[in-house]
Amino acid sequence: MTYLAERLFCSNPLCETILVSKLDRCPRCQESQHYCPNCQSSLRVLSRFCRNCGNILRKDYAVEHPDLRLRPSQNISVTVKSIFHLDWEIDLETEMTASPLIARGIIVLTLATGHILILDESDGQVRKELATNPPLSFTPIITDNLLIVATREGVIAFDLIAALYGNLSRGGLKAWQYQLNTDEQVTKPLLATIDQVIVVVKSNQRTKLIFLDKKTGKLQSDITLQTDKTTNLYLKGKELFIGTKNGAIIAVDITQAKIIASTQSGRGVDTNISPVSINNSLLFVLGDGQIWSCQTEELAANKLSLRAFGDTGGLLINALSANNKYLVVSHGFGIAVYDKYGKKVWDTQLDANSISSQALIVDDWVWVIDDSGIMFFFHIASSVPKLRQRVFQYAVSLPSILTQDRLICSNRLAQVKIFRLD
Amino acid sequence: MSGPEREEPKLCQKCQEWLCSSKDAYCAYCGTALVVIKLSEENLVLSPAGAVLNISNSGLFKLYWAAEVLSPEPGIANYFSIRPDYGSIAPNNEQAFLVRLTNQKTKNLRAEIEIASNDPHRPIVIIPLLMEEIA
Repeated sequence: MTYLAERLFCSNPLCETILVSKLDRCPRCQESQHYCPNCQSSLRVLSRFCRNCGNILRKDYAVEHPDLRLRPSQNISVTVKSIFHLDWEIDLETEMTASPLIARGIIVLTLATGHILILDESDGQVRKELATNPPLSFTPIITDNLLIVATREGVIAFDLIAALYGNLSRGGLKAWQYQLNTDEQVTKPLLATIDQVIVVVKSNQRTKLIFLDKKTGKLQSDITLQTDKTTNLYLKGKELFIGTKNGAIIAVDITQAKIIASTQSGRGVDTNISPVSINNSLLFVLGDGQIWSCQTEELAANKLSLRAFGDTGGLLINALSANNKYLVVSHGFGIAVYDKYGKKVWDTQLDANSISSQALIVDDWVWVIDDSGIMFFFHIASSVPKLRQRVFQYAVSLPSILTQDRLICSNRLAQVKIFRLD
Repeated sequence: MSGPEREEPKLCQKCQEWLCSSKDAYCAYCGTALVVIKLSEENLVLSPAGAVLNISNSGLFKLYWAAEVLSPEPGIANYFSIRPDYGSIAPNNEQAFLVRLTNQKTKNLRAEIEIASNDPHRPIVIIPLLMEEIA
């Protein structure tokens, strides 16, 4: 173990200037710094382990990828007074439909124009700009050192260490590319497992799940589904769940790339709403606006069945979000909160504006931004917001993300605002 | 007092992905320890001529070590000598040190050698010292 002073050297091995205190950026080499929550050592972005104590850094956050540590349950001590201190913001004046991806000191913005911006989380400085063919509709994934992006032509993996640290790493910028046929199109966000990347591809009114080798991008296997529309993928352990427009809910064993169970609901599944999980229940919204749950423990007997989850009473559901205690439903007039058994805790109409994006729920705290750009902050015990604050001017927001010490808000006009949780 | 001399940063041998500093204990990308101490013996049998222990470094950066004799009985540690009792070992190199009993008339001593190093996994290694029958 090194002394405290040594831990606060600049994390750039070619610089190593003494930082004196925990600065966001080295004053000499301008390297962005982040810090180990365990021993406070300075770290370079993309570090997966603390260089001083070996602590594993769980700092990957993305809304669309349940394999990343989305909104980890953490004991945050939230004080309303100081929570919304604006740290930095960026306005790119273009279209962005994919929510940002945050991983170990960087923020990745995926723009519809085909550009991918990699920013430093500390102050928003652009570290690297990557270009692919537009449009880019989904948040990429970061797995190992690869940034994997779904484009019109196929799936491209960029070497992030090469992108950020240039010739300090091996190889070129593009690690691999999987080419799609001209009639194929990626329709849902990619998903990474330990050794695979799973792609949902639509072709001739059918949907295929394609399993690619994560290291090489080579096709390993595929599964054809008899539907043209599906929900986002939901990975739970080694089982992958997907709902289809024709009402089937399918469980796939990712180790064998094989369908192990399926069930048919009476109505089609609303494929615009991502499934969420509460403990052993996986929740889907059906075409009639009701929420149904699949019990994942039944999969041991290769069974899958559906049960009604509470009564949403005809809400126009736009998005679901959940932790292990609560389900938050974003709907046409506000949000509704349900407990893990499906009992409604409360429902509030806020300013009667629609809420399109997922709420952010961490322990007993909920953040949500309505479609006019006002952020509401609740404690789950009360339907009266503890704070309301305009964040954006009449732009539909993307789901907010809470990292270790920052709240990241963004919208479809590619405006990003970072609030520090001091 | 000057610290250890600065070594040039090196690419991690295991993952070949991450440039590591000599101040680092672990590769920040794959978590591998960057200094690894290896000892030729895990128990040291002390003959009248003494005993030799080899320390080797299979890590990426220099290994810094220091050794001393510990004993539960007061003053016993002074009966032993270690030469050298500290050093630095470049990667993939080794160094030997000699442990001797300075007072040959003493018997049935209980002692051990403590080796401290900058190996993050084994910052302290204890080697029991076993006495050969001393005439």
